[in-house]
Amino acid sequence: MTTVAQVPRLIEELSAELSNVVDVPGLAFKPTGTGRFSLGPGPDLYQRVVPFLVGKGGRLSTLVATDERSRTGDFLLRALVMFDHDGLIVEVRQNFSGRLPVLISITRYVPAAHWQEREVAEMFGFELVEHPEPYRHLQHEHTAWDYHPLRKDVSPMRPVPTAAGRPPPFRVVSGEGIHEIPVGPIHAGIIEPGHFRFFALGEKILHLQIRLGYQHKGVEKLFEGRRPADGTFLAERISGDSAFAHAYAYCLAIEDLANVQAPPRAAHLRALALELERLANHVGDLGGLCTDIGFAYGASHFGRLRAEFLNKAEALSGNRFLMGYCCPGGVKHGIDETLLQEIKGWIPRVRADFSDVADHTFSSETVIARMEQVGILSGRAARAFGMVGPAARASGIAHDTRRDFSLPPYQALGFEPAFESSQDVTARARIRHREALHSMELILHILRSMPSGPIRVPLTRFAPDRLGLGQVEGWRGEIVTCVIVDDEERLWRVRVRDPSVQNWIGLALAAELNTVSDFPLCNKSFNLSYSGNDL
Amino acid sequence: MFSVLWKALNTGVATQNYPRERAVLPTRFRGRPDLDVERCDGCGHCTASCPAGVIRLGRDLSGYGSPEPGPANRLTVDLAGCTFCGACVDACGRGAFRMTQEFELASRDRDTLVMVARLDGSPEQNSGTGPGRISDSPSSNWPSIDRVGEVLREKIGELFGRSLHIREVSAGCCNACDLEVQAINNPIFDASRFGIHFVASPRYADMLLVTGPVSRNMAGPLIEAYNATPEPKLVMAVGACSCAGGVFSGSPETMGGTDRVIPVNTYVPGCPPRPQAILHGLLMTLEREAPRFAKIVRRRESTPGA
Repeated sequence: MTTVAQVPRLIEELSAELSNVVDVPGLAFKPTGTGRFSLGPGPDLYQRVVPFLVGKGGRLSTLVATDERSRTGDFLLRALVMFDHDGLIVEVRQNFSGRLPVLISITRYVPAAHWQEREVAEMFGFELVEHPEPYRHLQHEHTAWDYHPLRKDVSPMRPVPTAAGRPPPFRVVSGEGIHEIPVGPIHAGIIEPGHFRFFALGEKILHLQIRLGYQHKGVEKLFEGRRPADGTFLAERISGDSAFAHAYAYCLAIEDLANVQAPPRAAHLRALALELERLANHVGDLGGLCTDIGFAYGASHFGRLRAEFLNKAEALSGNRFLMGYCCPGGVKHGIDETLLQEIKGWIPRVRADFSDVADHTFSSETVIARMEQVGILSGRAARAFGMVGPAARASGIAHDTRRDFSLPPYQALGFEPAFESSQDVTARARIRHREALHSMELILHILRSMPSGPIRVPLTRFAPDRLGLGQVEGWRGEIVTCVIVDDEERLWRVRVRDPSVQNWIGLALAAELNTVSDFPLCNKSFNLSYSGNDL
Repeated sequence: MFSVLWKALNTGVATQNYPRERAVLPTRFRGRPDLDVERCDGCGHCTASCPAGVIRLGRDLSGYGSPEPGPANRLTVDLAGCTFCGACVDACGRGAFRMTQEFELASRDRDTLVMVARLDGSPEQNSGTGPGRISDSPSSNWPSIDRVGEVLREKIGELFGRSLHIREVSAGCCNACDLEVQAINNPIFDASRFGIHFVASPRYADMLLVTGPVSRNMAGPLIEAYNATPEPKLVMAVGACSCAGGVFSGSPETMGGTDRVIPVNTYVPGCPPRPQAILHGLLMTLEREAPRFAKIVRRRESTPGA
């Protein structure tokens, strides 16, 4: 962990080379918090410094645009670049002015920016240039092209203006025998809507394009104007399967603004809830993978086991998805000795049960034959697109927010992330298996070392005009939530970056050169959120 | 191979015999909120705290006119959009709200989901007999779940050739409801023992099950799916968003509920409703809709050449 007083070596190195990249007098990294540095605002910083930082081992994580025209007359774009090995966050800022500000895309150099740049452009009314696909990402053709909902002069109550437009074109792959397969938005299974366009030669997928936005509910706009404490309910419903992780990230962000840390007992309880959520979803995903390859034994046993984790989540929080458990300053309910002992006694039982089923599944030839060498995603691609979570770890990228950034209590528990190197569906299944076992181990550690004390502290004052940051490793990967409040301590801007935003492209790449019939398997091995992406 | 068999035998039957066996609920489980009218002083703290904006203070309306002048004399809680978060309980300084453990709240009539409490002590305390009643009101004529379960098998057998086929449409859902709908197919809840199956296309479906507040971008596809479902058809709205917009009500990007887009037969409140609540909704829909279906089927059969 880095303290504000000492400047880490990495920042010194970066500072030394900064003048070669941009020529702005007096430009320097300013410490803004524990392990956090900011740069700017200054002209061209986004398109010059972000590729430089990414070249130095950074990972472009989140773009946060704000409409500051009422204060400074400009739009402000913040790019959060994470240095996972050093546990550092660098915030690069740039101002944009004018009626239709021009955002010069860096997607060609930093592919990780591809969807977020489009989102910034459509939500704030930027002209996106040099982007390979400069189309709207979340709003569809029936929305007026000049509707930019996150601008402050757009009333949150006003009905959305409509227009008779045409959907943006797909990149067509053509040639003899190549056919197009449109799938969605309504899919065959009980899942969320999205459109997949396959270009296939016979059974083989040559190219896949994913078009989302069907779940767009205007969540970021809906946050605005609420009291910070009231935003938790909305954060929980960004992606229901990650309800707790999203609420946790949101609460961390507003605790950052209030300069308050949740008490140790609350941190332990939050970690317990986070691991329960991870377990329920990882086990459910293993069941889903079994369903997709017709391995009924695994499907029903993992389905049964998932319910065990949901039941414990409900016993802890009153809701199967842990909704209403995380609250600003701590958690809603404590844990009494009965429940603590119950979970302690239950973990070894459920672990044995889970291990049986997982061992049977992974030792079954029919399962391995269907998963091996299917849906390969190279580590290079995963790194370039800034992928996060188990999907990235299955491609050999050993990055886990729980270890890399100082999120209590994981450091004290001596946590090490799991990673796999085979890069295929098997790797993504095995990662879930290993992480599930890790999580059960962690829960035992958490319960053994449960500190006493309060479970909640009040949040009194929120610092205006500061970027409150919450970063949590949800079961799907790193969730980043940024919150800014106004002078009246009302939410002014909330930016939520679900891991799916970075990972969807991974699915498109992994599906290429596989058969169409293996696509459901690839899709399930990523299991991304549509709602979290579309907001 | 033997270990797999051994595991299966060892595990035994995981399925809960719902509805005969009641759900085992932990003490912290939050169901429908309930109001003690005596303690309510109409301060409005609950109204401000409600994330879904379903608690309203107001005065009686005269027809469609504006409310009469004077202090608020009624408090309404629209259970359709309630997220059962308990914020009203925390906000109320007088302990008027409490969370009950009732979750089987499905209703065929949208109005019965609105809990009405009169604050001026006038006699009628609730709007009707549905789940939106206040606890200490006269006993309801709500059909018991056991009764519904009994007649169900028979009804589905008669009308749908022993099965009900459902197409699920997620329209702006946060995916919690989708997961709970998936869960009714798992070995614990096992909807197929009722003859309830989920199908891949609206063309094969008897019922559309809609989750989410219907995002603008999904309104078109939802209408298409509705039109593609053959008559006779049913629509069930699952979850607070689908019933009334839930926490997303007020966003211009959503339609604010399924019934703003297509007609709805059953509302299943909850955020998300637990699997038993969804099963309850399914069982209830079938009981009520049965006569209408029988008529249509009879009409078809009597039509020559049909």
